[in-house]
Amino acid sequence: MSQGIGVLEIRGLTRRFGGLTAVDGLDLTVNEGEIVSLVGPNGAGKTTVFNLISGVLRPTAGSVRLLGRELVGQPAHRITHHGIARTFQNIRVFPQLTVRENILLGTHHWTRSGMLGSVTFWPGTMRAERAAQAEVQTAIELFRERLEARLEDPAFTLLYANRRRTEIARALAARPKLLLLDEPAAGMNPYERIEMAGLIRSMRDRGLTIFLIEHHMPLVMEISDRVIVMDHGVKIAEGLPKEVHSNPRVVEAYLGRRAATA
Amino acid sequence: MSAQPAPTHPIQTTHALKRVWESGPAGWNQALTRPAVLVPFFVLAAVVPLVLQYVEDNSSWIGAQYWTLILANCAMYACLAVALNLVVGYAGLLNLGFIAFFGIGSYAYALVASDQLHQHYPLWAALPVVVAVTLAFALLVGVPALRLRGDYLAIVTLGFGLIMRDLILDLDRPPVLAGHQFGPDGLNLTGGTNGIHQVDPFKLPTSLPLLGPVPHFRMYYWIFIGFLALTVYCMLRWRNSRTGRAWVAIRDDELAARAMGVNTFKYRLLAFAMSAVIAGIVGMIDAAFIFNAFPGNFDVQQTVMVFIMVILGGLGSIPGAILGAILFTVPPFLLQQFVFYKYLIISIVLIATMVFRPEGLLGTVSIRPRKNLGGTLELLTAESTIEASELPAVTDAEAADLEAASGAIVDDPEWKQ
Amino acid sequence: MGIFLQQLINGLELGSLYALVALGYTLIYGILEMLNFAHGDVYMVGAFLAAGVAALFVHNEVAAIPAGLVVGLMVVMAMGGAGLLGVGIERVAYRPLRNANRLAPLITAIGVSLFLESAVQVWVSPAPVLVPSNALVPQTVLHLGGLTTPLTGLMLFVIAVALMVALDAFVFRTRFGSAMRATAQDREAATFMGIDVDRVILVTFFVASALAGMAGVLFGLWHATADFFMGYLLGIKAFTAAVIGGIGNIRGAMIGGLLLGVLESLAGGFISTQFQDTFVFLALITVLLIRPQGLFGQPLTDRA
Repeated sequence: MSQGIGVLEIRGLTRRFGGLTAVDGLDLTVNEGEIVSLVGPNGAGKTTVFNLISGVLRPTAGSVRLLGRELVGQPAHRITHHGIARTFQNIRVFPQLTVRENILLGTHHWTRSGMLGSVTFWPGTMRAERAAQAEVQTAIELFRERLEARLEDPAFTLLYANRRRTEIARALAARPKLLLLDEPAAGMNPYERIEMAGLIRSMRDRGLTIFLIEHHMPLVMEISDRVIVMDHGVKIAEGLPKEVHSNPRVVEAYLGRRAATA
Repeated sequence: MSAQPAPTHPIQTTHALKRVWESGPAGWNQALTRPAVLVPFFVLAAVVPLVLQYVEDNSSWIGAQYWTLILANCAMYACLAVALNLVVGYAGLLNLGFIAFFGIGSYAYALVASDQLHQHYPLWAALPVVVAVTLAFALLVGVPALRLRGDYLAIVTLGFGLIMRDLILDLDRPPVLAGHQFGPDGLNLTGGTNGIHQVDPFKLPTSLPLLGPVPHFRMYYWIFIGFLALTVYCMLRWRNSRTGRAWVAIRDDELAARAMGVNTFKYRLLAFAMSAVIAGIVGMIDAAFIFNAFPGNFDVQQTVMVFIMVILGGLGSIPGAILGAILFTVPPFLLQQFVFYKYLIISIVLIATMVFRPEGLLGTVSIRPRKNLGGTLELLTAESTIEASELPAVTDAEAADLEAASGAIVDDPEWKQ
Repeated sequence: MGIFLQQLINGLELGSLYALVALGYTLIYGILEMLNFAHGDVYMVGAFLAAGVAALFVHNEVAAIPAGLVVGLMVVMAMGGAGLLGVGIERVAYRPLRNANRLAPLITAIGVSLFLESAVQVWVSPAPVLVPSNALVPQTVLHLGGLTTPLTGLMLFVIAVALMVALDAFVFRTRFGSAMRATAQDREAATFMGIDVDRVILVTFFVASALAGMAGVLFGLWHATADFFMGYLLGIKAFTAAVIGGIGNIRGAMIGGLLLGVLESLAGGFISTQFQDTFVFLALITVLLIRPQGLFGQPLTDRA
């Protein structure tokens, strides 16, 4: 929808695992305020791309820039601090922390609150804690009814959908410039998926740039500004959802050559 | 967004205590670490020696001093157990050389408060020295080892403990390296196998208003109890702060913690160093208490003993650590005839606990075997309060409106740990 | 130069001891990804078993049997006994925790280690026990040029190397050996291939512990003594050797052991015998700092 400033710029991103090239020379850009979807058959390398961006893996080659700042080589926690927050395919909330504490974890990188301060009730520390607590309220705004009652419950007592929401709220609490969502609608029924689509759009309307991996095509078509298709580690198509949908190479990647030429 | 009502919780009709019991270890710990429970506990603990004295004065029993000594010992181990719980239970690090920091603290104090080096620092001057020395060693060991996996840290700390003991035993003469002697003849730093004697006690008043004269054992019991209270207070404050959340997050899921911006190395180091410093301070108090610093303070069996206190008491639980300390200091004193078998019994209890009930009595961190391999720590629940599904069933019409999903959750091999 | 060569010889002998025990560490780590802290104490038990057999036949004159046969019995007893002990430990203490968090078996291992040490201390002897080596093996001291070595030391080296070669053949050239390697690489996949993982682990523990037991016999004959604490320090050094070679790598453990023995002897000879152990520890820290995967190990997963 909007173009201009490239929030995320990836050039020549490559990652090899021994003999296997998981990602090969990937170039892509995500612009401010966009919702970009990364799709592709299983094993295409999509989650690897997320891992490379967020610093969990180091690229074999290539560059990843966030608002001009080079991220390659930085430790994962610094990359989060620079403005990237992510969710995970198989939801990684912290089971033993409450929902509130999980979301507070999101504020970790931008609050200044140390050990000595918490023990001595240092005013600066207390202020930082209050700011973090306030952020929790902001973060759950989009799903207040769901999570508010569960704030003090440990995360392991939550059902799947609420865990997903907690994970997203946690990512929002990190005040990211770029949000990476790894299969946000996985394991959801159609009703929940509608909700998720609305959620993603709301987040974008609040100024976030969103880059997501998703398998569920209708959802992708519905909410994406742009779609990028990968297969075997390589980008094979990019463009508006409609364009990509009918691209023969994309059909071939998912369904095989015969379907493409049918 | 949908207009679904918020789920209601079942009405609580059960008695409060029953509810606490049913909430499992997490609930027990919550209940036991409330100020309403802790404050009376410490007040009671402080009053016990006075009660003992009273009983002794008014009957033919003469065990007051002996029992105060036992309690002082118990309080000391409680401090150590709480400190070990910080590093093993909160941060998940296996510091097998833990007791070495206790020893370092006791020797550091002994060196500045005895005739060994002819220094006689008062407490307020000795404390920073002890903290600094202990911290230095903690960083020396921690910084290299914490970058690596947990098993490596275990071996490195084990080796460290052993080396420290050897150094302490060997430094009663000037070290000779490659034929060169470092230090003047007669340099005796550590007293070798004998340790350092005639260590100054803290300069404290020997009698208090209202309470009258305070015998040595009682004074140090109060110091240990006071330090325990301070440590417990700090642990609880930290648990509910950014630092504590980071520790639990690292322990629960290190990768996700890093993804949320937690510098895992720094927080591990903080936990490691803090527990070492606490152990060092306890060592200092001990040296002042018994007027001596002994090489036996470095024995690995001591580390294992503190471990069993924490494990049996329950990993991750402060009340558990204190309980464990009580369980392993008081009975050995009472069952003197078995002291020869002490470590045998302790090791068997440790193995049995790990095999049958690794979470111990009050533990909140489960290290039990999981059914599925790989991943993060699992948690204990007595009864999980699983919420009822709050969404309406999807009607056929709605399902027909949308194309069916094909998205299966792919088990990405990269996430297997 | 003379000192150097002499220490080199001493080091190789000491190192073969380390190598035998390091092999056990590495075998178990490879298969279960756990550091078996109790392994050093299995070595100690092996030494005591051998000492016990020796005492039975040498001092008590139970039967007048030739020294060679006594030594043979010592070896069988030590290797077999240690092997069974290792298997027993695995069965009782480690197997229940096989799928648990990594910390769990380590903590248990410490308990097992303390148990073995206490048990021997309390039920056998708190003081060092003499091994009547002089009645069993010629105590000749060999001379070559200006260098000396006791025969028992050379024996240690030769036998250790022979065992290492045999182990190497077993692991790399037999079917069972490839089952072991498969299990070490991916336990789950190995079960899919029809490998009885439990049995593989059992055999691995037996072999690892038997090697340690053999090391105990050889040490007993070399230094004529055994005490309940001997396994502790040696265990740490053997682990260091395994790390230097690359934990999980069998050839690495052999080379690492010999290397560490040589380094330690050289440090002892040239710098100070007092601080030998400290140097070993510093070696460990150094390796972990600059090359944690050791000489032959895989680079550890790279994390940013």
